[in-house]
Amino acid sequence: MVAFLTEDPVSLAPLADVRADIRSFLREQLGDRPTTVGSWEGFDRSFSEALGARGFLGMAVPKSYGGSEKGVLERYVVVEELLAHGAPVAAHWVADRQIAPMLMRVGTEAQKQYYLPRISRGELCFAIGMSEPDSGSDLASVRTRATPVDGGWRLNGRKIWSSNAQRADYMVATVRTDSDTDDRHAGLTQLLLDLNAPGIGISPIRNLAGDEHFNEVVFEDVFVESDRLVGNVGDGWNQVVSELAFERSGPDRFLSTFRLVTELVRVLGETPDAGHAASIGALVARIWSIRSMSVQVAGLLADGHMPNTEAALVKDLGTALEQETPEVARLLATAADPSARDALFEEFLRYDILHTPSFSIRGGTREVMRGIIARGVGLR
Amino acid sequence: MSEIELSRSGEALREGVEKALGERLDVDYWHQLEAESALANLDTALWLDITDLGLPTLLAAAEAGGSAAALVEAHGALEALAAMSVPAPAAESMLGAWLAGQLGLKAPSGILTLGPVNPHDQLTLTRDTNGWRLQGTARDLPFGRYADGLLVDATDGEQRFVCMVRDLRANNAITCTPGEGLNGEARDTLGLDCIVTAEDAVPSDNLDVRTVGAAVRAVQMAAAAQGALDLSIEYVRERQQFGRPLAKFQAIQQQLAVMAAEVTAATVCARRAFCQLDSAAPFFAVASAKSAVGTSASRSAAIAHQVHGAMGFTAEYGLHRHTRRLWTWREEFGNEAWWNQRLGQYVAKAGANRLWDLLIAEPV
Repeated sequence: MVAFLTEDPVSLAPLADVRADIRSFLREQLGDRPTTVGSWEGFDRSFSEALGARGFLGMAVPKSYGGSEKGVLERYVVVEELLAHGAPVAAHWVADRQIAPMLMRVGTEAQKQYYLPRISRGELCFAIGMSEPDSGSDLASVRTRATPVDGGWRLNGRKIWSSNAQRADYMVATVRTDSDTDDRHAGLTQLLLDLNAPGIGISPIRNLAGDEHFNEVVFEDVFVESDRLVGNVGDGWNQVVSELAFERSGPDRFLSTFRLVTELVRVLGETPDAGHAASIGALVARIWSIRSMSVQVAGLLADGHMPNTEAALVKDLGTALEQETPEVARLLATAADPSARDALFEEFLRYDILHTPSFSIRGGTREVMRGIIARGVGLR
Repeated sequence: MSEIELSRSGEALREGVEKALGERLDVDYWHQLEAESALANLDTALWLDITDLGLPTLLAAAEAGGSAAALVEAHGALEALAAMSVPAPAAESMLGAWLAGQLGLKAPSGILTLGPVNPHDQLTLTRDTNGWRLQGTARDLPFGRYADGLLVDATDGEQRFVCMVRDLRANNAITCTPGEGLNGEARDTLGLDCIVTAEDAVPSDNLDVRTVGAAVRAVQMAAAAQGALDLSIEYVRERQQFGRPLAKFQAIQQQLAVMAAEVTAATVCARRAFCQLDSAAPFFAVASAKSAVGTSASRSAAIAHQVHGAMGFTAEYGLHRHTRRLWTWREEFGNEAWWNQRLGQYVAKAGANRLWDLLIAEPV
């Protein structure tokens, strides 16, 4: 029998004070009815710095490295409040979610001392360099090459779909350092690149909604100092895989469309008819269900586990829910009082219809998630 | 840093129940039972085993002769019972005794059942010199014909009550029409026009039989869906087509991955809701869980049958023991549509600004 998440329910109730703190911060910053469309894509360095100043970033980072040393679950509470209220989180998102835990695990002392305090203050924006024009889901086929030279590496190749690279300070790139091996997973290494270094060209790629969010990043004879190695040479694959549980199980995988759900409830009013109530109820039950799973995965992460299959389960169900949300919303809202469909509702609906196709692609496609789950239950 | 200690409190009870009943419920047992179409008849030897294990009184207080187990432990026993498709009213009796204890009702020893199972069955109370007169029809009561006590929700028009009805079989004011559920087990219709004493009817706003029944069914569905998943994985690894095991086909892998996600969601939700039964306001969690787990149950059953091919459709093979129970349980104590509607109305009334608070609430 293969069963997942069979631990006792994890309770976040003891963290009520953390929740109260972040809520009062959000009320100050965003008001009672936040209007930010696309929380993840909302890029606002001053907001991120304000969060950092109040100790809401680097919450799982020790105080000796400038973090607030609260814990993984405390961070979870803050993150879900940020997303539920539509806060603009893009400027610090990748750094706080996966770069900080990665550096704590495999970073050198000097890297920890330099980056962790700055991440915790909300000063640094990171991009991720995984996909390449010819390597999407098949990450192990990356061809961007780092060749050893005196004092470091020379980097050539290109990365694609790197979110916010045009605005970011750094990128953690997964590159090939050894092509002689037969094991596709060996020979990969992670490097922490300064995106202002000579030889790096960054071109935004306009998406179907007209936004410039992801980028192509070209490396032409970029010199990378040897102290920019993350972890060990050749360990890139394992290091990437161990980030994924952080990347795939969080509230960002089921709350991307939550502001639309909230506005839908507002549009339908206090006394929807039975059928409309049932549609809202089904959506709400599903959100509760996936959040319950996500909280359980957070418990495993807090306990030091690497629940990769469990994270894939959350991402698969969570992104399906997010994609269903605008479908439910557009049909239900047709029945509502037209005057209740205000501009904000229309804006959320428009944004979500245009953006949800990416949700089951970014961070690992639905098919890749299901492949991971199939391996987890012993079918591969 | 927050300290977290993950544990599996229900594990010991789960293993204990599996070990104690597993041997009895072997393939021959099921084949004989099903060949005789005897599922609706309670196996008294099995019930004796269940009683000897202390399962009906597992959650009852020590003063009431129970083991006073915690909900977080008891779910392990419920999951084991459901995973083995144990054809007896153990869950109903266990939770009936628990609910009675919570509300200060005295439970008779023996078999308890819960109702109404169908939310459209309304039972009414009117004042009577001896207490209350309870009237109405309760359909599809699990093992109703065998019950020594029946816990039901009822209303006097103003207030909601939970009542304990005793001595059912000896009472001429109670009629019993036997029936069978989709799972083949006894689901009997009781016509009630009987007197309950004042002590046997207590007002209760937040905790009622339906809420308890829904939470129990969610736990049972999660376990049965897990059972169907286990069988499916085993089957596709063994069954060969086109020269290789079905498990090697990506189409099969992806379907079972979806099923594993549904089963995991069901397990997590059911436990969370079940463990909140003793909180001040279990409605939101139980409503969400019964709806979400019901949906997962339907999807899981469909996938399990699809990957099993024709074999899963036979009486001989055991998959239907899980799937027929899923189809029965998803309907009982309010199906997805019923709870979705209540949940939606509750959310709408609370208003958009309260939605997030409701979702994250952990009542204490």
